[in-house]
Amino acid sequence: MRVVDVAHLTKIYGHRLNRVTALNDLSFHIDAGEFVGIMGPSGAGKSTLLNTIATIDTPTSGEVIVAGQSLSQFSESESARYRREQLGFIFQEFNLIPDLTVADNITLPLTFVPPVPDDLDTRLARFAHLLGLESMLTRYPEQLSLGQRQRVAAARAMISNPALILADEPTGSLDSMAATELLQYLTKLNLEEDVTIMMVTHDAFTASFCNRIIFIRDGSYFAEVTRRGPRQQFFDSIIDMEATINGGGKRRGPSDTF
Amino acid sequence: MGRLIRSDFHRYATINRLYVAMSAVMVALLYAVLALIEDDALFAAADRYTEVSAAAPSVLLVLLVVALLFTIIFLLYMNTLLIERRARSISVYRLLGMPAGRIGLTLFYESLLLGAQTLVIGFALGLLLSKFLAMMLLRLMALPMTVGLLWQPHAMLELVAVFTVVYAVIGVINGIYVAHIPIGRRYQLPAQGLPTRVTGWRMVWATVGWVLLIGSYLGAYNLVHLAYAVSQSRFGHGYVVLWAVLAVGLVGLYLVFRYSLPTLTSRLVRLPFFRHHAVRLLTLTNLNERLQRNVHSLFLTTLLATGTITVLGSGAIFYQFGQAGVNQSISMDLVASPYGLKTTYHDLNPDWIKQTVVLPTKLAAGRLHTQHGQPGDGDETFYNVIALKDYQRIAKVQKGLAKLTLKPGQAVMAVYGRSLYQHTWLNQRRQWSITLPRTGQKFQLQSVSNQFPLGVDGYFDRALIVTDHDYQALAAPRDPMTGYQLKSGKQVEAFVKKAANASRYDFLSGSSKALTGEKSLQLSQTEHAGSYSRSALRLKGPLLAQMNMLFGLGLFVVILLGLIFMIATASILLMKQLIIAFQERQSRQIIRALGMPTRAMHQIINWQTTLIFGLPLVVGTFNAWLIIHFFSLYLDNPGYSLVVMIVLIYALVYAGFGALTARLVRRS
Repeated sequence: MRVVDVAHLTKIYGHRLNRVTALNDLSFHIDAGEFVGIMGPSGAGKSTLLNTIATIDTPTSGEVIVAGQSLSQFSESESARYRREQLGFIFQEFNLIPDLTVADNITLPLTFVPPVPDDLDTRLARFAHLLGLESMLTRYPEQLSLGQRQRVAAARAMISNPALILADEPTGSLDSMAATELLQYLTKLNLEEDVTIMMVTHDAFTASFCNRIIFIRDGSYFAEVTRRGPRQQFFDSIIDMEATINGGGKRRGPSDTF
Repeated sequence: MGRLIRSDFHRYATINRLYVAMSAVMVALLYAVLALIEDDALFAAADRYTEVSAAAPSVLLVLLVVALLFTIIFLLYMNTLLIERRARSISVYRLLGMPAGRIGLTLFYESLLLGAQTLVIGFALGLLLSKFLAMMLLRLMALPMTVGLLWQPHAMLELVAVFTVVYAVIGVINGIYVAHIPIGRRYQLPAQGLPTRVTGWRMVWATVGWVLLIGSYLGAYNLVHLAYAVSQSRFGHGYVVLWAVLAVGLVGLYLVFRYSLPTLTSRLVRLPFFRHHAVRLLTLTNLNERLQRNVHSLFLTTLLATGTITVLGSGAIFYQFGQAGVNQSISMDLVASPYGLKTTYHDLNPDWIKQTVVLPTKLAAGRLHTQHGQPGDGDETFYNVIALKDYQRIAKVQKGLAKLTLKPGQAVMAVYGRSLYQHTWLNQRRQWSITLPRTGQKFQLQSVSNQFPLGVDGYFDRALIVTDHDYQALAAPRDPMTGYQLKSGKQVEAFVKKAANASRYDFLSGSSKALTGEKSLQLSQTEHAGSYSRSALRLKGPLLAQMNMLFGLGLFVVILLGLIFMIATASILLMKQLIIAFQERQSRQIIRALGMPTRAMHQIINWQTTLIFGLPLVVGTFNAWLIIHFFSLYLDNPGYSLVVMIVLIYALVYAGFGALTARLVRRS
């Protein structure tokens, strides 16, 4: 089943005398249960793409369909509902509410609009167990390590059983140990819970935990690589592709596999 | 430098506009008062009506000085809030190599420019306000005059001189502040800290806070009787109780803000009612955080609100006291004793009389019996005894005279200043009685009133209302009173003026034999040592004019002070909320990204603003009510209608500031 379908997406900022094309006729799709990475050099349009899928930004043209819903016709309240019910977010800066306990941070999206699900506590216990947070539920974000905070953010993203999790540089603020641990948890969520994850990253090591990497450059689709073998091999191929992109290489076909 | 100033003005446009607007209102009020003081012609004209108005400029001058000092403190405080907000960008300027002196000079010029804007807008507003304030003063003092806009260049120049110095000082302070902003590392916003952890000690302090506050509230409610009880004991003077209640109340209130409320919110936040509803949860956690980070400013704002409402409420109750006091003293245009009537009747044309009322009374000495050791027990004084049917007849024409039903042997005592006879928790009024020693009659006291038929000025001391049968049975000298309602007209005014200047008195011997009933009572027109006296001829008009002047001026002063205090309180809260909203913008962006509907986000902002504005208002109103209740007791309960109206207007304007704040935060 197709979860994300991006078709001819274009986003232009500025006015007619000073136009910047952030996304340029970008098209790709993500199927259910995939763990997809989005990579590209600075200014490639990764953040704009993420914001567009999150309905924080609106496209100039083209269409994005998530879980069968076209995002272009959404009103403000429909966008909020879509973000609440269909999306889960993991940000680079964690973006946890410092005044709330870990438990309250995780369950927060479910309490935005009544009624609160009856199984709120069950869901909390399940994801706390999955992400190893059981002993920290009554603590506050400032009392946790950076890696633990990001796991809380992951649990918050998962609690509403969303169709898609958007992760924006989730390991950007973590050291390598914490980053590896988080990525292992994300892989576990992807495999055990069959969660679809779209992760924006510029780090090849982080990207190597995905199943597929879509490379974009200058706002356009550049190439993609799919993991078929060991992670080390996949990592090497990502490095190769990065070298090609940064070296000004030509666009490759959509189905390079390693 | 000009470019930097322009860019700063552009970047901080909203905050600067608010700062200028609030300061301009203060300047406008100051100008209007100063222009009023300097309008010699106005007060010269007012002198024709009464000499009380001669004191008005001096009273207004005191008001001006207080208001000016308060405005300066307000400007300094607001400047602190504003400059703190800019610390981050100033730190970057300095990091990039801009000399501190240059930034300081920029801030100095900016301060002067803001001051210039404030003065221009303030004077324009003040000119318009001057007529309004002058008319308000004249109406409150019941002076039949009109006045236009008050154009006083002198007043403007004086204020320009004062505020140039004030804004220059603010500029210099900002310049000095720049030199102390850290360079070389990123300027950090104040650390948020962890939410309150409820420890054992916190619980102890929280409980102590509630106990002290509730204790002081109970003490304040029963202050009169508590002070009396202490003054009768060996512990000391009654005024010690006043200071003790005040000190305990202040400490209790601080502890409640510092410990009790954060502990309460920390407990509440664990309840599913809050945890399972994001709007409630985020509102409560925000309140908890504010109580932690801004406890002092919230506490001070509450004290300021208490002060403002107390000042306004007290002014209103004193004004009502003046109005009610006149009616309580003389209920008709002219009230006369037989002697007063004899000396005046030939001057009083029957055509001027609209209504005549006669009240027969008998004079008797009486002794009050209350509980042993309670106030008033054993009091011996003179009573004008009144039959119930005569009382009821007067009650038909005199407003405020309560309807009574009495059984034989029962009585109602009317006494002026009945604060110590009030029925309260500390002063239970049970089995009180009065005996008339000369006849041996004894009456059970049914109630104590402060309303006298035809007004208290007609009595030597107290009144006693008894059944018609008991009145008939009383053998005592008669002392009838006659009340007149007069028509209006110049001749009547001339008669009233002439009669008011005549001093005629009745005297009653206050010897111990007279008080104990051993000697009969004799009215005379000559004074002896220890005599009780009353004015034989009492006129309402002149007394009312004097009261209006005095309490009207008082009310004007407190309304202006209240207005200035209120603008300051609300402005501080508004600015604080805006600055915090700016700091919390990221949190709002997070919850928006997580899918919280805009309506729910607005609800959170509205609730947060309501709580932050409402807390000082509610606590301040309650504190002020206790203080005003105390005044009211001493002033013999003149009524709360004007107090309620003024406090409601205050709350409405304050709520308006709250609504503006919520709107600005939503847009930030």
